Amino acid sequence: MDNAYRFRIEFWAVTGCVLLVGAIIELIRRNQLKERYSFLWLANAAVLVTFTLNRSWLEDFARILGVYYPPTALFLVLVFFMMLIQIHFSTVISHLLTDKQSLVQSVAMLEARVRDLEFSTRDQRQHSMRIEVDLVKEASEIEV
Amino acid sequence: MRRKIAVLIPAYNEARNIESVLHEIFKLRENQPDWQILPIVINDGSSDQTEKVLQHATYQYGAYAIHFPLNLGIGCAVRAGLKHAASWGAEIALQLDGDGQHPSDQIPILVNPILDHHCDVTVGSRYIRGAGGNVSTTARQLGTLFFSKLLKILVGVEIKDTTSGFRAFNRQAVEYLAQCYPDDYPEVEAYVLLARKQFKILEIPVRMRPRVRGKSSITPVRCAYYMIKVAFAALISMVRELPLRVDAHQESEVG
Repeated sequence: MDNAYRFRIEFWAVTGCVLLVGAIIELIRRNQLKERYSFLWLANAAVLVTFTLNRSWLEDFARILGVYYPPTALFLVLVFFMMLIQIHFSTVISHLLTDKQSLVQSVAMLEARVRDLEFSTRDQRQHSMRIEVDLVKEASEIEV
Repeated sequence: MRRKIAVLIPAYNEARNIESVLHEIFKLRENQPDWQILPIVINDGSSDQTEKVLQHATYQYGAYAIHFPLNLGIGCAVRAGLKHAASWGAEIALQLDGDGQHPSDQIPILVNPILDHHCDVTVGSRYIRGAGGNVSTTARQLGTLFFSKLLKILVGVEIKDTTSGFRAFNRQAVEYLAQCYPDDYPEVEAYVLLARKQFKILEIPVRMRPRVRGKSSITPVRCAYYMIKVAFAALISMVRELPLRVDAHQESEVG
């Protein structure tokens, strides 16, 4: 009976990991996920599969952690990787925020330069028109 | 009619080297009167005076500069250069490092085989018979050997200098890579993408120089990370969805 349960646990654990790896690779293949953000997911799946298929390693690991029931250690591994992934994405989001701020500043400065160029072009044009009007006036006064 | 050759120069903190690189390309124009050469410098968010140096140098040497407000990596820089080369109508786009390691007098060696329709892509190599000059560090050589074997296994392409940044692409390869050139450490992955669409790649011995000034960004730790990441990316590239290759001569889509 124990063996039947153990087989089922191992089967579903390995199946779940295989499905996770397949999903990650398919997302990368379709350019929906960058490779650099997939490493932790794949490492997670690799560690879980390794512990599932090597019962003695899982038992040793559980003993080191002081966990009485070895399959519970698998959950600890899963929680650990989830935390790592969350922290990783928190740093990624922080970098993206900094980059967004830099881009907004660059765009604002570019817009300011474009406005300055437009104003100076308009001022030059108005100045040129005033000179033309003055010249025409002078010419007409001379004729009179 | 003059042949349009774009020279792509990705530059990150190369304020001390970039002007001499542009000067060399300017000199090359005198020796190649039937080429219309456009240097395209992609300033990849440099934190030094690269942008300031380029403001003066682009006018002096007839170059075109693209300035990124942030550092996006060499893959994005080269891709931006490829896009501009394609929009300019370049027949050939040649990639060259901004640190002065690639002598401009070697450019015709890479360009002429493409102009003569011997191949679609040429790679300037330090590791085949007839090459000379700078050879990289041991760590980098080991990495290069590893990628060379990997490329041979994956796509059957033999390239010894897989990390060379001295390469030339014909128009079809430029338009194709402008859509899918990889972001991170892209040299090896690009060969997989090209080989999958049956682009012919030819490796040619060239002479290279040691870095003129400044420090390379490749360290041993980064080298190890690079090997793992690139090997994984190269494997994924075998099944990645790719844009179509449009072959102008055949007027049909390939792959």
